[in-house]
Amino acid sequence: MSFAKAWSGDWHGRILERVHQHGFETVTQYASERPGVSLLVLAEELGPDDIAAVQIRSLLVEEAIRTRTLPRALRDLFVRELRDSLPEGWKYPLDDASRCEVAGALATWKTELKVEDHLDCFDDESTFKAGQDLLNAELPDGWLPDGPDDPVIVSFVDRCLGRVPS
Amino acid sequence: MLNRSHLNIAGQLVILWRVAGFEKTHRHDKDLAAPNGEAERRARRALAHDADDRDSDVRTYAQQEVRLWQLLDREREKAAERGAADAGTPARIPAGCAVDNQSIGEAFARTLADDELEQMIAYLIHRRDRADLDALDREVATSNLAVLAAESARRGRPSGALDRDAVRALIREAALGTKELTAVLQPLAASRDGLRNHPLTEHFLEHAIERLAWVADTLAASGSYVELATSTGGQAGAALLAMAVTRAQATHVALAILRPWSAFLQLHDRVAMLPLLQLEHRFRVLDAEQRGVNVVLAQLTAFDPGSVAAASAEVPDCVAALATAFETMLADVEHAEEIQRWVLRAQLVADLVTFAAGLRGMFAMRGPPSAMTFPMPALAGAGLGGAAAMGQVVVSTEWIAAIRHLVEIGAISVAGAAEALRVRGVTAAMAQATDLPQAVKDLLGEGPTTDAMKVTNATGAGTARSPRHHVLPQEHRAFFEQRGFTGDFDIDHFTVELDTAHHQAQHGGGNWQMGRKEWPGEWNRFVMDALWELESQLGRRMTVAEIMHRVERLMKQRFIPVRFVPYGGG
Repeated sequence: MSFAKAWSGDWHGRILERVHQHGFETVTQYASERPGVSLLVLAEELGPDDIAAVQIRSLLVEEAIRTRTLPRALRDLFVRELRDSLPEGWKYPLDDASRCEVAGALATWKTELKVEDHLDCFDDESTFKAGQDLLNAELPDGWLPDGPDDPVIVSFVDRCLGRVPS
Repeated sequence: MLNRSHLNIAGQLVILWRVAGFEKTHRHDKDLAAPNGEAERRARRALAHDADDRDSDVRTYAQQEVRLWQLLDREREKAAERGAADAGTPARIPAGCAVDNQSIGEAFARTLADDELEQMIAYLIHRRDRADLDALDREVATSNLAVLAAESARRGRPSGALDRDAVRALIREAALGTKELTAVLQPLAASRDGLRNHPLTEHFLEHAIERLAWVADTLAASGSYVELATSTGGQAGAALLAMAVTRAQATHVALAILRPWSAFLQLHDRVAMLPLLQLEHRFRVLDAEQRGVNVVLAQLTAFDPGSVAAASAEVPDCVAALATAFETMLADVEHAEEIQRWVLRAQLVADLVTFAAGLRGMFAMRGPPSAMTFPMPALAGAGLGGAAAMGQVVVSTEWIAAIRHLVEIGAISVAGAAEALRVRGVTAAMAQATDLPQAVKDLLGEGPTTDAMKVTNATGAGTARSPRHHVLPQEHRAFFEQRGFTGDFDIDHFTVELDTAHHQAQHGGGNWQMGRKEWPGEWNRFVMDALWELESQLGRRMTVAEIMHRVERLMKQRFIPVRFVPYGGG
């Protein structure tokens, strides 16, 4: 029954209501308390049978646009996606399966924001290059970003947004 | 390997078909010319109708043959790859570990970490199935496996290896059944004296062989899904396993009906050699019974769990009808002989009756001969006569254990399990003696059609079915075909049914489309963009397992149920 339940009625209102019940004003505040945690886990916590992970993402993006904090929100989302895809952490050089996971995290992150949230902030060419560099990055074993302020992530997302010349 | 062996059966069938030729040369075409008024006209109409069918059959055959050979080739390649993978398995077991030649205890099992336990289970399954090992070594593996399986159940942690093994047990049983029926039909196809002495009756044999080839094909598909489930893992893996179970169950139901049908054909084959009963009469009897068989079989091809269970519920009646027809045919033969009183024929008829007595066991609803034997009182109902009295129900303990496991992991519904058991003639009383879940035992007591069954049946028939949606966009079929989504993995097999009946969709106020429709309007564009982006970063094409793995995650994030049903099925 979950699909119909999650996508019927005012799901925006429903999510905000649950967030308030947890003692937070906004979804962003709620999520910031749990950096790097997968949106699936947050959705499970807020509404195991009537809130979908992507709905939370959608609200996070809306709030970030309102408060002009979009780049940080994008970094926050990428960190969650990456940690979810590569739970064991970095191991340089990435093997084939890990490359597929990291590329999957990147592709899902970018495409969701572009297609579902209609964001046109990505520079396709620099995103591709930034992605290639990330896949080949010599990062310490077990590395995973803790949150949106991780320097690797800050630099990566800035490049995706075309803010730093590649 | 399992797939390979049963595919060899399919291969044999195809070869058999080629060797037998089935040219349209027949000895007794004149039989039909007997001046018999209305009956003759009916038979001629049937023949004309038959000819149309036959042309399409020939085409189907050609396609089927090509497909079977392709499958065989693919399986060989896969087996070669797997061979390498399997060889690596034992290396993962810690050195000095005594599971090979000593019985391990619960205490030892408890010391294992979760992943060690899983590895050791996989290792022991592999060892138990190794034909090159001593019977004793394999017994040790079996009993150690039981200890580890109990430990896995105690921890309440799913074991992919055990899940897949349960499905493989179903496939193995069906493969044995297929082999048995192949051996039954082979001599019939090789001889031109019996059913094949006339196109009217030959057609029934073709039909049975075609259905058996379908069973082999379906088993191959089931095996392929298990393989893919292994490499995909996660919820998508579970969904693939459920698809494998549905197909394995479909083959079990098909075999349950094909078995007595083959016996019936054997009898007719013999009768056809005696000039006692008219061709037209024999045709009518076969035609009538084949309709009943087809009703059951037709419901299986959709691979819809609901319609498979519904078909399963019809099997006992259909087998009873065949048993009655079998006895009637035999009585007809004896009667005809009495009237004609030809000494030579009397001997032939006596032979036939002896032969038929041996066939009666085929009407007992059972699987391949294995460990657990029940007497068969359950079916001694009205109209079953001698055929039932001869039989007994035989179900292997391995099969019962597989069913139990699949119920526990939710790959098969309780109602589905009850039907699967009932189709083998297992009754509530027999089930009590086994360690099946209580819910299954309870359902077995409720007769062949429970309310739950009726509901799925109505849904399966399309009256209340929700729309089905391709998870992998249809308009990009070529993209997926290039990546291996062909045959058993055709994108049509990966569609989902959404519970939209009560869907009062209101757009929640966001700036995207999900809530508006029964199916997320932007899903197709989104999935394709994501896969293209991924591949461009990766610098190569993705595999079927990689795509399934990624798409599963996208589905979960949107609350799209990871449960695949065939498009257009039901």
